[in-house]
Amino acid sequence: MIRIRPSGFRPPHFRPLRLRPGGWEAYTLSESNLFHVEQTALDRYELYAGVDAYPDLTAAYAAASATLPFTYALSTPPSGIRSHYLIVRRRNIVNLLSFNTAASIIRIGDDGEQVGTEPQIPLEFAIAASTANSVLVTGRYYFTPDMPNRADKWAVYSKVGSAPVPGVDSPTLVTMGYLSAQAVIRDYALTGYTTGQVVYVLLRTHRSADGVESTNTDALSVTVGSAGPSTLGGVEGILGDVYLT
Amino acid sequence: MVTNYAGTSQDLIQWFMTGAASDNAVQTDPTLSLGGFRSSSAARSRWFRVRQLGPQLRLDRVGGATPVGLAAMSTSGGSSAKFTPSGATAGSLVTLENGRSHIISDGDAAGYIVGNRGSSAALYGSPSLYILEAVNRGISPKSIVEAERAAGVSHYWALAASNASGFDVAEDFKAWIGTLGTQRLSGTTQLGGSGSGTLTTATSNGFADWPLSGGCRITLADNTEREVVYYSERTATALTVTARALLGTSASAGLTTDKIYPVPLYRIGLELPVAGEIQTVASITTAPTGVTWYSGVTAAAGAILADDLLANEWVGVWFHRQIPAGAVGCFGQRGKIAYSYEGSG
Repeated sequence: MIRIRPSGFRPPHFRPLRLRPGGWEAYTLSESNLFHVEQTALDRYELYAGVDAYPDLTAAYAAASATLPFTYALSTPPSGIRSHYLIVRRRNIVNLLSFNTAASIIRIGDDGEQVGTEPQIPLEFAIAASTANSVLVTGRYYFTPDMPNRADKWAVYSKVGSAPVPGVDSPTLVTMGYLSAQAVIRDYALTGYTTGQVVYVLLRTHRSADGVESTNTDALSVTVGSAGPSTLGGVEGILGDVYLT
Repeated sequence: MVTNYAGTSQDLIQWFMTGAASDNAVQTDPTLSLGGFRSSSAARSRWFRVRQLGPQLRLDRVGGATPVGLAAMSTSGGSSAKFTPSGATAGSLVTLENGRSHIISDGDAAGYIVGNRGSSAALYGSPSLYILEAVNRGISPKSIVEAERAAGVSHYWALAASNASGFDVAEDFKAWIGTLGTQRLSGTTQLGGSGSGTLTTATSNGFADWPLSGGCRITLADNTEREVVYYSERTATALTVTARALLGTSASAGLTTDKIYPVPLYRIGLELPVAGEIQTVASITTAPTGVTWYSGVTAAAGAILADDLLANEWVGVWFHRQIPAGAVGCFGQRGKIAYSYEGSG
């Protein structure tokens, strides 16, 4: 170490007496600043890709480009459908990376063609036995997440004695009526059963453009009731005498 | 020059730009802090953004070692306040006299804030503020642009470490390079005699608190400097070294007993002013002459001022920052120095 000494004339300096109780105070402090290092090649869009799963965002990117759009080839499955999960992030010139994690999902069939993403499954799905050995079907579909490719029909599967199998059994397609953010099927009647039969029903959403349906497979079942009269609707009168016993 | 001195020795040494036309003239540009006369513009380490300020209390500045983040203040009895930086121990209550500046320290003797009470009206409320680390306000003069990064660059500039009081004396001033994480041993893998390589520590997660890229100082077991290198990336236990022999050091093969420190790629030197000024360099890439450089990370291995700084005296602290060619882009690299002195309390 070298002690730096003053140059030139300096008046004599005598250290003042340390009269303060406890002596002088020693201080150890620090000063710091931040600065950035720019690297032009880091200014880019990075694509993270996963096959049938979300991509690992801690791994290397699958492709990158300084500008949009850029092209990335999606692989074709040997059979069935493959889902590609794609996330594009933005890195800037000082190596900061965006935090977005929402993926776009593109499904490719074994013919190399894009397959539509399944629409949302119906909510509040319920069935009830009703008069005249009918079964009433109810459900609700919130279609906003599927926009612009929302489902446009209800696929109502029904079968006696066992759960219907999509792809094997054929549904009845019922056109949806849209409200502001949802479609509702209420008390849709399935008929033609006999008393005591156990009827299984599966309700799905269906997109006519490509025939893709929601993925739910849980069917409900109910035992149909007696062949009673239809329920009263509106205002109807009962004619005749009523005897209380 | 006496400015904003809070009256206790914790605030005795204050840092200013240089490059002014005369002593204490205005010169606010860190990239023009190239020696010459001391400027009236402070070099800052911390900024603060006030979330809620109680009335009657003006907050002037924050000490350089104060932890960043959300800090709290509280008042008591209408005349006292205390300061608690993020993650730090709460400081003691400080009685604030009307019309005076006061140091309000945290409980760890590391951070402080200077407050000025503007009236005799009672203090109340619980002011809170965000403490932010300054970017390019003296300890760093500028960021590194692409052309400098690609080719490598050395920057030189000077600050004035100034005794800001009108009566007190700062004794035994020392300055050295501040470390940026925990020192380790390169026990598993060392560098060869030349070329890029890997430094690996046997300590599990040993580099967890090191910057993701930056400088590494290697010393022998007896603390003798061996070499300063640059690593472009790291894992929890390994550094990828891509640049050797920086800041005037020479490449040499390492040993398992070598100590390694995360450091800014800085070295410093002192120059006492003559007739109120130190030498001036032509540009930020021009080295000063006759300056002895230090890259040590302890007070004993740093630059030591032989004489005291009397009231209003200052010493020029020259900085040399070297960025090697091909350094990786990075947000928030840190330049840091440490210093010590004795004051009358």
